[in-house]
Amino acid sequence: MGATGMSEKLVETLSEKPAGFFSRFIAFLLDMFLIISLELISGLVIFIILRFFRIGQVLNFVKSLLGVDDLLSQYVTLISPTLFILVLVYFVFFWTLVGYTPGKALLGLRIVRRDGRPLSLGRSLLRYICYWVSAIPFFLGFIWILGDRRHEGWHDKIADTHVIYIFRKYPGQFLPTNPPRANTEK
Amino acid sequence: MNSMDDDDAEFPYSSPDLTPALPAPETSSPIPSKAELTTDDYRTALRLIVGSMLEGNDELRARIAAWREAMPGPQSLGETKPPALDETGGSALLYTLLGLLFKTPDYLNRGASSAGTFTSRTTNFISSILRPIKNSWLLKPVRRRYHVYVARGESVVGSLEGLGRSEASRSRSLVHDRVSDEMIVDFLGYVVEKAKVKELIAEQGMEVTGDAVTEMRERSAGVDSSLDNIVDNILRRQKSKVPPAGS
Repeated sequence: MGATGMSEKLVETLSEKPAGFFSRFIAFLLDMFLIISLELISGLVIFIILRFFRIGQVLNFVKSLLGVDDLLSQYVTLISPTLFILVLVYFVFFWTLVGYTPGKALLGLRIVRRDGRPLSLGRSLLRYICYWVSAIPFFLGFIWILGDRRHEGWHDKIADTHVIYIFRKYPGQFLPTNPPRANTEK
Repeated sequence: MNSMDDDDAEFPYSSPDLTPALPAPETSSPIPSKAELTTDDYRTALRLIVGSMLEGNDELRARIAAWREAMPGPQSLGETKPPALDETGGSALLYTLLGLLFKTPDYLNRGASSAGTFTSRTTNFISSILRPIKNSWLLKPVRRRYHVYVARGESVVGSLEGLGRSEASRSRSLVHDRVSDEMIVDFLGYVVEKAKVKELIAEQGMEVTGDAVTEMRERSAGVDSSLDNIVDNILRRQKSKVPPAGS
């Protein structure tokens, strides 16, 4: 398959159209993989430092808190709270700063508001909270993307956002291009 | 590569494709075009690889021998008191693994020796059982042919061994004479310092990455549209004409 020819066609037909379920799902999986890798590595480093300096108090606290004795359970207990914070920071940071997470960037997706403006910090936070709203009823809010005409999940509808395809416009550039700024003067 | 011609004077080797100048093949064949690889090219490249491996191996062994000589002997090691062992389980495990690491060659040697003895005894036993059959007049014609095949096989192995010996010495002399440390350092320095080479490498890397990413995007967008069609069929609605975002 000729990459360049096909990408030109894709740029023509799909650019700035709402992204489908599969692309978004793969992007989400990539992000999750990245987050978990980061968390495991950073958690391991913290754990080794604690062990190295014999900071037994922290581990004893963890032990007494949840009654865990073995090393693996102590490690998991230690990283669990930081994982929650890391996920929040990861998504909100990337959405606000550039409009896409690394996973979405790979799939050529970008999150914008309905009027095309980039997301503010508050809107990013709202969207993240709405992720949970979509996830709690057996991920129905995410599955909604499949059947919705505009490919919007519940979190998109509540936060007034869209995920769109932004493919590269010329060879060598594979990060999504800048969001459409037609209505930025509002 | 052509874009680097203007800086060629900086580099001490005249080959346009950055490979060091090598001795011409002994056969007086015409110089092949750049695209086709001849058997001589293959042989020269092979000699270069083999020679580098042999010379590298010798160098490594020489250095290891020098380090071993410089190391304190077992007597002087015995005089120094080993540090007090940490009593934690982790430390005990670490020392056990280290001990195992140093004992492994002994285990392997002992295992190989036992296997050799066992094979030799088994062969002798089977041979003693089969000797009457082997020496019988029934197998005389087969035995003669067998000896012919054995002689032919030995001569093939002998010629291969001779070729290997002569090629090994030629490969060594090729690497020894033509590839010096300075040359390698010069070549690496040339690649590292030359901005155009770096640009070329970066460009190629970006191109490959870009193509892979485009391929992934194309495939996922294709699956998206197939999924849309399936959902449209299930919901019995008209084919999706997704409105552009923001409309």
